[in-house]
Parts: sequence; C-alpha cells; structure tokens
Amino acid sequence: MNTIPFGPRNPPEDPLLAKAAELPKDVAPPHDLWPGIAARLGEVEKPAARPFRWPLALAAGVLVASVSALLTWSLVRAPEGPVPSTQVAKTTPEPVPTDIVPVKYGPNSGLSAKDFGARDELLRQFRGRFASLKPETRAAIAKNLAIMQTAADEIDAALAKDPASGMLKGMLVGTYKQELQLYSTVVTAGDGLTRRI
Amino acid sequence: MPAGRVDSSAELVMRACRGDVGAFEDLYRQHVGRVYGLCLRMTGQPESAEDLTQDTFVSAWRSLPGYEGRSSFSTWLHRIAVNAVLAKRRSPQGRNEVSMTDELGEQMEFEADAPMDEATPIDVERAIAGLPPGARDIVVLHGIYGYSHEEAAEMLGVAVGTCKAQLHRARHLMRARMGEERAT
Amino acid sequence: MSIRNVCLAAATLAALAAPSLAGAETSPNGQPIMKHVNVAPDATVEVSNVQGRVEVATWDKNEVELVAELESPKDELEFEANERYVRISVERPNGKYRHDDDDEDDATLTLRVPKGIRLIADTVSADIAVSGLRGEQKLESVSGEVQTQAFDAPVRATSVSGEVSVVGNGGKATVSTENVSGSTTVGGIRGDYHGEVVSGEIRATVAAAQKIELNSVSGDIEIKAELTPTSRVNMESVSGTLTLKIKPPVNAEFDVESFSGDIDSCLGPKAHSTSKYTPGSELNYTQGNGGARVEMQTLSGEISICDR
Repeated sequence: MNTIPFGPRNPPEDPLLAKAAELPKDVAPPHDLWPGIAARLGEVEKPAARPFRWPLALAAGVLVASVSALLTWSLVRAPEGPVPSTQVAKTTPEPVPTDIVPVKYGPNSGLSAKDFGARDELLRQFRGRFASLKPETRAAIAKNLAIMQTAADEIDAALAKDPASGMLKGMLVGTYKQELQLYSTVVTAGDGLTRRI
Repeated sequence: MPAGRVDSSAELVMRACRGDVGAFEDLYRQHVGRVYGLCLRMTGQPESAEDLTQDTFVSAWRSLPGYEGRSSFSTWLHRIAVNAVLAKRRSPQGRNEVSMTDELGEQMEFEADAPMDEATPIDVERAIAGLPPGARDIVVLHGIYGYSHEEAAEMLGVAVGTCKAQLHRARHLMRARMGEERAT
Repeated sequence: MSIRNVCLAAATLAALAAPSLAGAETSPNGQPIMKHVNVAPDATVEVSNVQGRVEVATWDKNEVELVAELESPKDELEFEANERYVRISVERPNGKYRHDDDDEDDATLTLRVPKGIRLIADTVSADIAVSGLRGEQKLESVSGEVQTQAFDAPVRATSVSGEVSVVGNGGKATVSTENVSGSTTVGGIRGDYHGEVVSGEIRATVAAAQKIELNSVSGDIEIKAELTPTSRVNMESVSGTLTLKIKPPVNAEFDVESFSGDIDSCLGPKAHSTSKYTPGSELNYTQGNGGARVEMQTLSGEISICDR
C-alpha cells in the first residue's frame, strides 16, 4: 500500500490551549447529586457476581499494597449490609445496538414520503441483516448513522436560514444517498444465494 | 480518609463490583467533579450537566464488571460521560437544544461582543462555551482534560483528522471571541 | 454491491447455459477444497464470502483455480462454472448471517485467474485482496478490508467499516470508493476518481486528473492532484475538512463556498464573507490560465487549497 505523505503541519504550542489546560479539571456541581443517583441505583441491576477482572500484574500489586489498608478501612466503615446475591449477566460499558434509528430529515429537506418509501423497503431488509453482524460492526454502523443524523440536522438548520441554497440541498440529498448506500451494502453483502435464479 | 489507606479507586471498584453501594458512593465523591466538569463544558448548560452526571454514574454502576483497568477509572467514567452527552444531543430534545445554539447564532454572538483585553480563565471558559458543539468537544477533551487526538477521536466517534480540524477551527473561533489576531 | 447490480447479476445468470460444474461441498476434515475450470480470458468471476478472506491473484493461463479452506464444518462451498461465468460462494446454512460469539471460524478463498477477467467480490467481514487484475472490479465488504490495484478497467471498492486501498499502476482506470467509517487510501491513479465517506478519511493522489468527485459527511478528505486543462474537481463535505494540494503550475478556476467553516487558500485572494451577519465565506477566482475547474463546498468544515 502506498504511503501518501499527507498530514497537516503540526502547529506550534498554542497559548489558548495552554490556558485551557490550566482550567480546573474538577467543577463541583451546585448541589449534591448522590441522593438522585442512589435512588436510581435501586432500580437497576446490580453489578454481576463474576469476579472483578484486573490485569494480573496490576492486581498483584494492588493486592500487596492494599491488604492492610483494606483491613483498616473495614474497621472504620461499617458495611452497608449483607452483600446481596447477584445474577450473572453480560454487561458492557457501551451497549451494542441491536437495531438502528434511520436518519430523520427535517422540514426543510424537501424529501417526500415517496422518497422515504424506497428507503422503508431497504430498511426492512437491512434490519434482518443488521442484528446478525458482529457487535463492533453494528456499533460502527450505529455511530455513523448518528453522524449522518447530526449532518442532516445541521443542514436542515442552515436551510431554514437559506432555503434557496442549492449547495445545502445537494448536501442533504448526498447525505440521504449515503444512508441508502450503507443499508444497501449490508443487505447485499456475502449473499451469493440472492444471485441464484 | 483513614490513615494508611492507599489507592482507593482500585479497592473501591472491587468492592462496588460486589454490590457495595457505599464504595460506589466514595467513587462518586472522588470523581464527580471531573465528570460534572466535563458534562458542563461539553453541554454549556448546568442543568443538563447535572442530569448527565447522574446518568453517567448510574451507567457506570451497571457497567462496572466491564471495567478491566485498561484505562484509569477516571478516563473510563469520562468515556461513559461523553457517550451520555452525545446520546442526549441525538435525542429529539437534545436536537432542539442544539438548534437553539446553532453555529449561526453563536457566530452572531461573537460579532456582537466587545473583545477582551486579557484572557482570564473566565474568558477562556466563556470562549469555549461559545464554540459550536464539534469544536467545543475537542477543546474540552484535548485542551482541558488532556486526552490525545487519538483518544478524543475514539471517544467522540470521529476520525483523528476531524478532531485536528475541529481544534484548528476552535482556535480561530476562540481568538475571534477573545479579540486576538487571527492566525494566517 | 448495489441492488441494481445484484439484479443485473441474476439476469446474467438466467441468460447463461447450464453450468458445467455445480454443487455444494463441505470440508468436514478441514482439508482444502480445490477447484479448477477453463474459462475465457474475459470471463466473469463472482466470489461471495462471509468471514475470513478472499485473495485473488492472476496468472497467464485461461483457467480459474480455487483453493478453499473452510475452518467450520458447517460452511458450504458453492461452485458453479462454465466458460463465461464462475460463481463461488461460501454459505452458512441455518443462520448463515448469524454471528455468534464463539463462531470465529474463517473461510479462506484463494483464487488464481486470467488477468482480463471481470471480478465481483462481496463479503460480510472477510477481507478482500486482489493483485494484478486488469479487468473490471467490483469489490464490496461490510467490515472487511478491501485492497486492490487499478490499471485501465473500472474499479469500485466499498467497505462500511473496513479500510479501502487502491493502488494505481499508471493506467487510466475510473476508480470509485465508498467507505462509511473506515479509511480510504488511493494512490498513483490517473483519470477519474469518485470517493465517498461518512466519517472515515480519504487520502488520494491523482495524476492527470480528469474528473474528481469527493463527498464526505464528517470525514476528512485530503487529495493531491495534477490538473489538466479539462480537469473537473468537485469536493463537498458537511463538516469534514477538505484539503486540496495541486501540483504546480496551477491553471484553474476556483469556486469555493462555505456556509460556516473557514476557507484557507495560499493561492490567489483571501476568502471573503458572504454576509456581515452570517459566518459564510466564498472564494471565486482564476489562477493562471484557468482551464481546469475546481468546486469545493462545505457546511461547517474547513477548506484548504494550496500548491505545495
């Protein structure tokens, strides 16, 4: 693969960014948010019972350094009650989507119900395939549909101010076409049987 | 804190994983400032920032078993917070909020205010708050919280080049906001 | 592959004589399955795979040779062929599109084909790697990487989240790439290039460019181009950065417009605001003798133009 020597020139250290770095990282909320959080914790599933997994070397270091402190801490602070039994459950920091939200186009888009009718059929087939893709692929698709949604919203807001702009209308149509192309690629991928007579 | 207590996050996370709400409250108190600070600066709205901070910690509680220590707990919380902010922007309510601070409106505000003579921390905060969302996100993550371009891009779900471009744009806009000379 | 092309392929199949070789095979012992068929030098070869890899290389024989390695005993290899048409497909019956967490078995298809065949390859997550093929290519994957070379015949390379790479060899192929979140790299091509991304990046070098059309939603596009007097360049983004570097001397008309992003050009005059009350700016001028035409538009991204 050729390496194309592109890339922006690295700008010198920017004084504005240096000032931003000096801003306090911590900002205290106006009032204590814990009561609201605690109330909601009671409504959600508790963390899974499987052992907390920590990189082995780090776990060893933490264990050696913290055994005595843990004993001290347990004497100082009474436990919150018996440790509840928990269910084994698969949870991930970021939920993997099992469905997608198609892009919504604003009132200034100029796209009609007829345009979306073509998309509906494609979506029906797409959803059948989407759920069976790898989790990371589903996540990538969902993220990019969100990016397209942001784009559609920005264009629609701009069209509200300049409804005659051919540039903006072209961009919106382009975004819609890219959305359709995404669905189409997934629908037809790896599907040799569809080409049988 | 009790005498002799060492790195609390690791122990607290382990205990919270076992359902210890008290340990999780301690984690909250240790990290709420950074989470709220990030949510506040990314949204520019204190009320939204409070809701998103709560959402972040509730999500973190649910997702604790998935935390494997590859990044610091603070960074992991920030990832959850960023996702919460972006999800809210995508929601119908969030879209309405974004449209009220669209780029056009903010740019008009830049033109209306008089430039500042000195860049005080308040000036910098105000300049960041006045940025459009994409540029603001990268200034908050990279400029304030020190994440690399690659980390910020991954958290925001955009390409690294987009982050760099947004940062470049943010510098221009902030300089205009604060009355400094535009770079050529 | 677009729905239209799938219908076209089905119609093509319908018009053919009965295939001389057909059937489904599995590989219960994990042994490679080998197929061999004589074909016309400009035959069409279609390859379809779910997970694993598709590798296509060329040779001087008018023959298609396939070596299929199926790790999963559940995978079936479909092979149909006659002199004008070869179809190869890996099927996973009973939920062939189902991705299970423990279903990591790959299917590797290695082909050798005549240089002039027309190749259609599509996969779900399998990578596609093609080398030395002079005929028309349509390569598509959802999450696999797509790598190929371009000569004189049209090349279309698409991936949703995988990387796309097209390396030119001095020919005049029309190259088309589509990518959603993966990165696209195109180098050493001449002639026409059409590229689309959503959030991924495009890095391209085009010599003797004729028609360049590049579209992005939020991804960045950087292109180095050598313009001719008849070149037509159109670059558009919603929020992505557009960077155009033109090999000097530059002779072109520029029509550049941004709704709210910045325009930075080291050629000609500076961009000017379109209105006192809006952030938009535009740049319209002729550099040198004109001839080529460059149009660049963005909603909120940045545009950068230079000759170095």
